[in-house]
Amino acid sequence: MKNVKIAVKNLNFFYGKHQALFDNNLTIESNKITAVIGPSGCGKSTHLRIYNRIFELYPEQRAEGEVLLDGRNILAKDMELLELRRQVGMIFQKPTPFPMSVFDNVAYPLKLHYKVSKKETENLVEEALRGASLWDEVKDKLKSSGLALSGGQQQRLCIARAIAARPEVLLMDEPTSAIDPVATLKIEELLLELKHRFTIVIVTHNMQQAARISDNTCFFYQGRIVEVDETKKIFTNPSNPKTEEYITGRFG
Amino acid sequence: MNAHLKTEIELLKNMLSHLSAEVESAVQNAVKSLADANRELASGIIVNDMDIDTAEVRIEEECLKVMALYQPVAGDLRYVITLIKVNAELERIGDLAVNIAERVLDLPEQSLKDHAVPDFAVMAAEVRQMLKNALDSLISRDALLALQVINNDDKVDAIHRKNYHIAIQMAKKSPENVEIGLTLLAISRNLERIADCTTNICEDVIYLEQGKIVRHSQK
Amino acid sequence: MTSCNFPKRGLKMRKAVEYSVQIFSYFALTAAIGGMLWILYTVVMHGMSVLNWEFLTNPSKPYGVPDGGIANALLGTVYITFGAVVIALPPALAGGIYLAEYGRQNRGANIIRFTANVIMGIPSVLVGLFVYAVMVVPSGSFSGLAGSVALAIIMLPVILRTTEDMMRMVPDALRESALALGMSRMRSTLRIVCRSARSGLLTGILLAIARVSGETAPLLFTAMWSDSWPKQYFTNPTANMPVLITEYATNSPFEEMHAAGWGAALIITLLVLCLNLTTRILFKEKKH
Repeated sequence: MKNVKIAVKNLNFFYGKHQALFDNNLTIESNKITAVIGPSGCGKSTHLRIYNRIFELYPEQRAEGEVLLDGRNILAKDMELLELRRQVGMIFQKPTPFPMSVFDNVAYPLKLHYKVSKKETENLVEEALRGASLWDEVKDKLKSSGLALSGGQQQRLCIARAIAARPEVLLMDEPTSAIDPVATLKIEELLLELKHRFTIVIVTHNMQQAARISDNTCFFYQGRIVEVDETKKIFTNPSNPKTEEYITGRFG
Repeated sequence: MNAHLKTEIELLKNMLSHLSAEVESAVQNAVKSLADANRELASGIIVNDMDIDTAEVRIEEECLKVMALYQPVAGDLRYVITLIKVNAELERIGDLAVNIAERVLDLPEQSLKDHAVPDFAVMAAEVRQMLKNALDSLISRDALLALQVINNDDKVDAIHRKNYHIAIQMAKKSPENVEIGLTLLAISRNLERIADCTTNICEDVIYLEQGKIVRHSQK
Repeated sequence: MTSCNFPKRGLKMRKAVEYSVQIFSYFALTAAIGGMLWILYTVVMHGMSVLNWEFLTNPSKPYGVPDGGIANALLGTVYITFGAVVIALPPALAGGIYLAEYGRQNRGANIIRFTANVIMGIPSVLVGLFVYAVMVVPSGSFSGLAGSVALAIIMLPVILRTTEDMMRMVPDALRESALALGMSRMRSTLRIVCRSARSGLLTGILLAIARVSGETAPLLFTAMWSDSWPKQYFTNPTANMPVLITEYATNSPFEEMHAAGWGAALIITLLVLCLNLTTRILFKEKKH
């Protein structure tokens, strides 16, 4: 009885003339963490970036096929892009706090999408920072610059900013690869809590991380989806020999 | 990282091979000491069991180390787990061989020669073959062979039941035979339990292989 | 431990080379700093004598008339430079932002860049002549405004390129972050990316101002000179510092005026120095 949040059908993706994704078909379950793994250059980040159409920043990139978010095709011409990006948030590999105070960073998406009073903004900012396990560390320095925080804190700030606008899906593109191991574990714990409120899709190079925190795992190879299944099955008894080779480290 | 894991697994395989050889020879010697009424051989088995125990502990420690340091997954993980289980079974078989040796030492030499039950030869041969096949199936990852061994266990069970009746007959015939009858029954039970252990090993091999990649068919 | 079996290069030679390069560097550094100090010393020596309050607040007087100062020229320079900034800044900023955000690979953008490079290479005297032909001659008079236009032409490509470079230095991840939150392209560019690059942009602008405030040739043909306060900046010749220095220090036969010229040179040197220092301090603060 799976709840499907995102359904990908026959997705193909091109960088100019070069095809990067071939016939991807995938379903992402609601309120679960789905990890996307695969060797470098296999297309996993490319695939992730279709879910919020961030690839459209670059004119030579295009996607064909269907990506249904709660049944609606987000690749359709009539999809309201700004609303899509409110519903689908994204965290990047390198933490990207805006050059403003911690408070303003988190308040920005609120002011962008909603009409909120000053008091409501303060409450929502606190809620978002608590949600990102960052409130206790920054409550005394809400006015200081977001850039003055440590790497792990900056990334949690980006998470707080992303969840402030109450999205439904969180996309994470290798969110901890630029962070030290202790901070990484903190963020992983955070994700395990957040999955109760959001659907999370995380691209990661780190297979142990995928094994630790995800419910489902999807293995990409050379632009195709090779296998997608429950994480525990993939890591004890994968069905596809390529998957077995990859996760036991025979290549990649 | 992966090269280290491979080397480690090779090391484990070798250690297990040595242990298997020791245990096989322990069983072989136990059976021989019974057939030839060789008390010296029996004593040797009991002494040698210490080596088997030490080896078992070392193998288990090594497996735990591999799990902790290399976090193997999928096939590698199942393999290490299987090694741990087979390791334990082998040590158990070693103990059962010791039991047999102790029973041989219990019996006076003459009674052995007089009352040697012919079926022990057959039973012993069956059990030794089962053990050999079980260990081979682990090395060659041959699930079919493992299955054969499991099916063979019925035969050994049947022989053991026969021995039970024979022992009862012996006891009924004359009260002096009770001691011998009981001892021979004990030996039969130990052999039967060795057979059970080998089937356990085969079940582990089948688990290892059932989790195996579907596309590769058996040779 | 294994060591290589090949014959080793002499260590002495390498050390000697390193040492001599170091010596040469120190020498070059001394020559450069020494030269700069010499210039400053010369200007100070020649100009110190005339510096006093009246000098700074009196307007200039025609040749031979005593009690002349540089106040009107200072004010004139301020007006002209300010005017140049007002004219050049909007198109330069807009152009730089456009090139950085939308003009990564397209043809039009490359043409703009090429044109900017060409204009940067035009000698400033030609710029002055151009504005003379296009503004001064048709209108019949020199003017401060024409001076501003000339300076603006010089400033525009400089600010355009530094703006583009500074905007380019903002990592793409920041742009994508802003877009991923649901911001429109325009908003994310102006509010987030520009804000992130603002210290760099400001530096570029201040340095461009510092550069043009000393340009003489364009002003000779456009704003020229006047002994009055720059009240009619738009239509009449306007006093300014570079032309004052030219006139007093070299053209005038009077001794006091020579000194006054040097004094003006000293003032303008100090102003440019301050501007550069301000830029450095500002830039340093913003870095993390």
